Amino acid sequence: MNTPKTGQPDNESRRQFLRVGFLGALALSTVSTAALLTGCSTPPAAKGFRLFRESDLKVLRALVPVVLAGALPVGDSAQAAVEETIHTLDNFIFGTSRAGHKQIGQLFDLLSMPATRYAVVGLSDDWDKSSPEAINAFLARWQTSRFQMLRAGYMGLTQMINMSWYLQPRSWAAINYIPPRVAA
Amino acid sequence: MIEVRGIHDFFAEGVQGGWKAQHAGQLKSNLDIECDVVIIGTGAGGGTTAEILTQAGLDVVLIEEGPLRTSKDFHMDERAAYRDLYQEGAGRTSKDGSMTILQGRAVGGSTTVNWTSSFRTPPLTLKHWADVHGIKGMSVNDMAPWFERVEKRLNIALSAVPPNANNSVISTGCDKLGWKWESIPRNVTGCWNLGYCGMGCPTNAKQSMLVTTIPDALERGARLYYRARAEKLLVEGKRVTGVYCVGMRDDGVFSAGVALTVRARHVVMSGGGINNPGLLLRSGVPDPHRTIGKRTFLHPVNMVFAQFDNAIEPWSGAPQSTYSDYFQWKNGATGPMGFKIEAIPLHPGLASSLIGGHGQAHAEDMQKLGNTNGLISLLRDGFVEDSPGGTVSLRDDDMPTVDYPMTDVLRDGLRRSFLAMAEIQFAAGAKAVRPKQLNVPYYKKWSECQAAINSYPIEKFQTGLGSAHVMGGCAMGENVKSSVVDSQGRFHHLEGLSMLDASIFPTSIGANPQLSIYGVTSRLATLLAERLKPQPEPQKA
Repeated sequence: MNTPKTGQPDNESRRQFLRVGFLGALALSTVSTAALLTGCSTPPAAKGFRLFRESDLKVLRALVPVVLAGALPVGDSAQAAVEETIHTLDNFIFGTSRAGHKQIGQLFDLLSMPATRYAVVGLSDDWDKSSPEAINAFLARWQTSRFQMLRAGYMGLTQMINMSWYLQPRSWAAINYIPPRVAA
Repeated sequence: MIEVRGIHDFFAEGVQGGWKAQHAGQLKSNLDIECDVVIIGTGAGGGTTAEILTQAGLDVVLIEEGPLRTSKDFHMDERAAYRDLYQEGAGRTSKDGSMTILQGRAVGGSTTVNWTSSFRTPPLTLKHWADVHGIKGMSVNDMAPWFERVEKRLNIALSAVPPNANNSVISTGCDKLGWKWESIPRNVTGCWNLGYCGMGCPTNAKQSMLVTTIPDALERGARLYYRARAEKLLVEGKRVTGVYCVGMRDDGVFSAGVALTVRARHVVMSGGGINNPGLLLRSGVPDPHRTIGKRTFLHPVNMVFAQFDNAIEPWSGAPQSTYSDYFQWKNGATGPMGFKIEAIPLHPGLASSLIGGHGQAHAEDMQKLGNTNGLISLLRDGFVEDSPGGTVSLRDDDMPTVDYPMTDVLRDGLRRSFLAMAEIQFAAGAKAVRPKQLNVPYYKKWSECQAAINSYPIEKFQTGLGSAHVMGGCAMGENVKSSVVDSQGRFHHLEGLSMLDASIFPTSIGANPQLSIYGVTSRLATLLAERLKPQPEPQKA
């Protein structure tokens, strides 16, 4: 059996893994310490959302258009489509479990906290200042990583976002999907 | 465009007419009730048990964690269906997230959302249970009358309509290769052939527990509490005496802050694999040999997509009507892992998540969804030593989760099933084929695809894995050191507690499990009814 293709030199992967291990743990411990200090286990959701915080929305507003490139409408309706996709995702995650809320919270902490964003995600600029090319490069790095945790992150993020778009009727015309109707 | 109209929602009318069905999250205050038997879970096991016990004249209470949704609520909309009708809002996975687990959570359980495939337990599985696990009273001959009874009750028969294009790929491909395929018996009456079984049947054609046994039990006076999560069994000395439940909010995640306590002469757990061991673990019942939650089997599923020139419309028509067991029993029950090949319906939301990838390439794959076929293999886990199954434990939110290991026997089975599915699709005329494996392209030629599959790393988060069949975790057997319940589903270590559903299967089935659950449960619930019938001495011997 062949070894998994990594798409990057081994020593680079190893460095990245060490950073994930150390900084990931740091990120998570910082988050839980902050939670203890404020006496609140879930930071407040942004206005109009059930779970996503402002910091999560900053990530998603940059990430969703890259994941859904080629599927989202162009022009004026693009932004509304992105927002509705984020709302669909927010509702989906909210409906899973308390453990699901926590896991997603931790993933987005890792994506958005400056130290881990730089070290693990590989974005030197904040999400709203990163180019689509830079975000695409991050997705490709995680997708082809030899580290299970990063591949899991890639699969989780892209699957959730793709599904949140294609659950919406507005996405169906482009794929010629016409469901049966239920009479009112 | 097809339009669904004129459907009679007799469940909703039954409730209006006086059936006792109560949203536990909407109780005004805590409630304590008593009954002969409380059944936790309303799926294939719970529904079957409820009908048999109420027919025997017993006073039954049914507990369901999910919502009550009936035909008028089934709008063939993935968003609502996943949120309302599936465990954890369709977000259930194995512990490390590597396997998606689709399991029902609503009145009717997984029978409300399954794809209607109805197979008797294969003879080699029953023989293996007797030979290796010491199961008594479940030979092929013992079980035949119970299967006959259920087949009649749920109108299980071969489909009256021809298979859709998605399923025809199996028959066409297998015919070219000289591999045997067969048609799938289904539990439907007057099926409209819409293709939305997985979102709740909008026409009441599917003979799920929601439209058969549960209405029958309610008609005989059973009381149903839905949005009620069973938190802990009540135990007094050596005896289980009831269950403590909390009413849930409509989000299905948070408690509504109201409690329901049910005291009963006998408690039946029918919450399925994962949930049944979870409730036992939360309750802290005796587990001297650490068997609770072990041997949880999932029929691990892998998948191959194929693009055709002709239209497939994989969302339309009966989801599963054709299968191949060509690779299932080649070495008997043991040896290399066997697998069953079936089709998977592809609606946009689920398909977009399964197809994988992102950006322009993903968008183009989705534009071809109407010409895309999906095949799956259900791998028959639990029959050899290197297939120990998963282990259920409690998460920090007190909900159960299953840790499922990748082993060499499973790796080998996944690789062989990738090869078999792809070969069928090319033989059926596919123009491009892609196994669900991270970072692989669509292949244009069988030889190229075959070589690639033989070099895949078969690992978690490389190979796409899922499950729709949760079995085991409360294994039956006569040896207390290796099982949780006996061959009649009675818990080894306390009186007054039975488990009647797929959680007691000592291995996976090797076929979609609903008819196995109905058949086994019918037999065991009938024995339970005999024992519980008003008598001077109702205790088990």
